[in-house]
Amino acid sequence: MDVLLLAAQQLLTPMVLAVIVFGTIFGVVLGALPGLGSVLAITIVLPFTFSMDIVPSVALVLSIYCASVYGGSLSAILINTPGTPQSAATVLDGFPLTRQGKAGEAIGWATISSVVGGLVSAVVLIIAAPQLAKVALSFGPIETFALICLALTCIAGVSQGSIVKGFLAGVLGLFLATIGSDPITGTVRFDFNIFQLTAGVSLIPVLVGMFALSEVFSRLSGHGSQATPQAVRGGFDIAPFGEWWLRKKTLVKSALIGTFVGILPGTGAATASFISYAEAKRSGRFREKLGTGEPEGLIASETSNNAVTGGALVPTLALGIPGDAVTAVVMSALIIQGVQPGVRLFVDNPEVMNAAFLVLILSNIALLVVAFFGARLITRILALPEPVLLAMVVVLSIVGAYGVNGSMFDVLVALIAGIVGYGLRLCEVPVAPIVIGLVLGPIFEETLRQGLIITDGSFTAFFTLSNPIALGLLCITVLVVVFAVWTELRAQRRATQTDVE
Amino acid sequence: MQTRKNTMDVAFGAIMLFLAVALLFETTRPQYAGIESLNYGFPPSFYPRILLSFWTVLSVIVIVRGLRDRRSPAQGTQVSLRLVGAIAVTAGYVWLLGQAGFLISTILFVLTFLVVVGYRQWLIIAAVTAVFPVSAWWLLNGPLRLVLPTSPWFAGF
Repeated sequence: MDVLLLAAQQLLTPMVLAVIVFGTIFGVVLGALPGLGSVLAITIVLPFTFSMDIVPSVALVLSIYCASVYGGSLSAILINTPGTPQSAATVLDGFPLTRQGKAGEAIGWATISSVVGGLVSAVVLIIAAPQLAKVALSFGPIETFALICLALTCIAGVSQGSIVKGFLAGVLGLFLATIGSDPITGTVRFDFNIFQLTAGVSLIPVLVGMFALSEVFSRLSGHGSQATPQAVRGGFDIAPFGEWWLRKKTLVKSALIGTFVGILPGTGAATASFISYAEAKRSGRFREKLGTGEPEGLIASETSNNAVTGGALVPTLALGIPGDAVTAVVMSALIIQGVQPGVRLFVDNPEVMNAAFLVLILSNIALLVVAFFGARLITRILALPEPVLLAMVVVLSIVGAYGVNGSMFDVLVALIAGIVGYGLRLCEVPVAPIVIGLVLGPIFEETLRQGLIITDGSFTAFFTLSNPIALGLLCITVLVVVFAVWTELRAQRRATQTDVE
Repeated sequence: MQTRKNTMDVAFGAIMLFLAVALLFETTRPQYAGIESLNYGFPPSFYPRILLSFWTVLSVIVIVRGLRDRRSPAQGTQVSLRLVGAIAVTAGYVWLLGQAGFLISTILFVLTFLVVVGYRQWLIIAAVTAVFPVSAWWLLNGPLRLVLPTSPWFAGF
C-alpha cells in the first residue's frame, strides 16, 4: 500500500499529468495518420525520454501506446483507412456510420469502447503481472533461455510473410546483439576495427532506422501505406446508456478476448480485433447488421484492440519478454532508464511498476478527455500533406538517434538501419523479430551460457525432467515451429491447387 | 513478375548466405578463441557460431525456395527516383548535420526533401521550412534539454 501511495505521489504531479496529456494527444494523432502507428509513435519519442526521470518517461511511453492504438480508429471511421492495422476491423462498421452522417456517434462508440477495453486490461495487468512474476522468480537461466526461445519462435512464426524469413530476421537480431563485448570473457567481437562498435550496437538508432526511417522510405516508394485522403470532420457524440446496455455482452467479451490475446506473444491487437469481430458476428445481439454501420462491430473491434495494451504488458513487465514490436519498444524505454523488465522488476523497482499500472489507468481516462474535447481538431490533422509529415518524421528520427549519446555514429547507424529495413521490407522480411532479437539477445546468450556451465556443457540436459518448466517451454517451442511450418506448407499447397484449377 | 519475386528471394538469400559465411570466417580469428581459463569451455565464438549456423541454414532454405517457388504473388520492386532522391537527401542531411549544426542543416533538409519528393505547394513549403526547424530546435534544445549538433559559426545552433 505504501508503495502504491508513493507511486501515486510521483504520478500526480503537474509535470507527469502534462506528459500524459501530451502523450495521449501525440499518440492519437500518430495513430490516426495512416501507416504510422504505435511503434513509430513511441520510437520517435523514445530518445527524448533520456533527459526525463523514470516516472514521466514511463508515463509518456505508455500514454502514447494506449492512445495510438485508439487513434487508428479515427481514420478508419472517417476516411475508410485504418490508421493502424489494429483498427482494420473498425472500418467495417465505422465508415458506414460516417456515410450515414453519424461520424461523431461512431467516434463516441469507438472511444468509450477503447477506454473500457484499456481499463479492463489494466486491471488484469495489475492482478496478473505480479503473480506471474512471483512464479517466474523461481526461473533459473535454463528456464529463462527456454522462455526466450518460445517467445522468439512465436514472434517469428506468426510474422507476416514467410516463416523462414521470420526466423532469419530473429536470428539476425540476436546476432546484432553479439556485436561488442562478450558477456563472460569481455572479448570484443565483430567490431571490425571500428571503435564505436566495441560498445555494441545501440538499440535506439536501430529502432529508429528500422521502424521510422524505413517506413518513410517505404511510403515514398509506394510500398507503404497509401497517401492520406481528405478527411471528413468528426465530432464526439455518446449514445444513450440503453444502447450500450443492449451491447454489454460484446463489450465484456471483447475486453476479455483482447486481454487474453495480448498476453500471447506474437499475436497483437489486429488479431484480437478480428477475433472479437468474428465472435460478435457469431453471437452478438445485432449480428445480422454487422458490416452495415452497426455499433456492435465497432465495440468488438475497438474494445479488444485497446484491451491488448494491458495484456501485452503482462509478459513484457513480468517476464521481460516483449510479445510484439510495440512492447519491445516500450521495454526499451525502461532499459534506457536503467530498469530491466523481468522477474526482478517487481522486487527491485516496485514503485516503477505501480506507477506504470496507474499510468495505464490515467492514460485511458486522458484518452476520453482528449477525444471529448479534441476529436474535431485532431481529425483535421488527417488532412496534413504526407510529404510534410515524412520530412518531420525524418528530422525527429535523426535527432532522436543523435540524442542518445550525442554521437554522429549513431545517426549513421540509424540511416543504415533505415536503408536495410527498407530493403528487408522489399524482400518481405518482417522487421519486428530483428528488434525483439536485438532486445533479448544479451539475456538469451547469457542464460544459454550460464545454463551450459550449470549442466557441464550438456545441452541435452535442458530437455530432462530435472528442468520440468524448461522442458515444457521447449516442447511448446517445438510444437509452435511444427505448427507454423505445417500452416505455411498447407497454404502453399492450397495456392498450388488454386493455380492448377 | 513471378520471376522477379523469385529473383528477389534468391538474391536476398544469397546476400544473407554470403554475410553468414564471411562472419563465420571472422570467428576463426585468434581473438575469438578467448582465454581458456575464463571461458568455462565456451569461447567467445561459441554463441555467434550457433547463430551463424542457423543463419546459414535459413539462408540456404530461402534460396532453395526462391528457386523452386514459381507461384508466389509478385510485389512491385521498382525503386522510384523520388525514393533514391529522398535517401540521398537524408544521407546528405546526416553529413551536413555534423558540419553545419542542427538548425541550418534542418532548414536545408526540409526544403530539399519536400522538393525532391515532388511536393509543389510553395507557400506550405516556405511555411514548413521556416517554422518547423526553428520550433523543433527551440523545443529540443529548451524544454526537452536534448543535445543537438551545433555549427562552428554560431553559438547555440
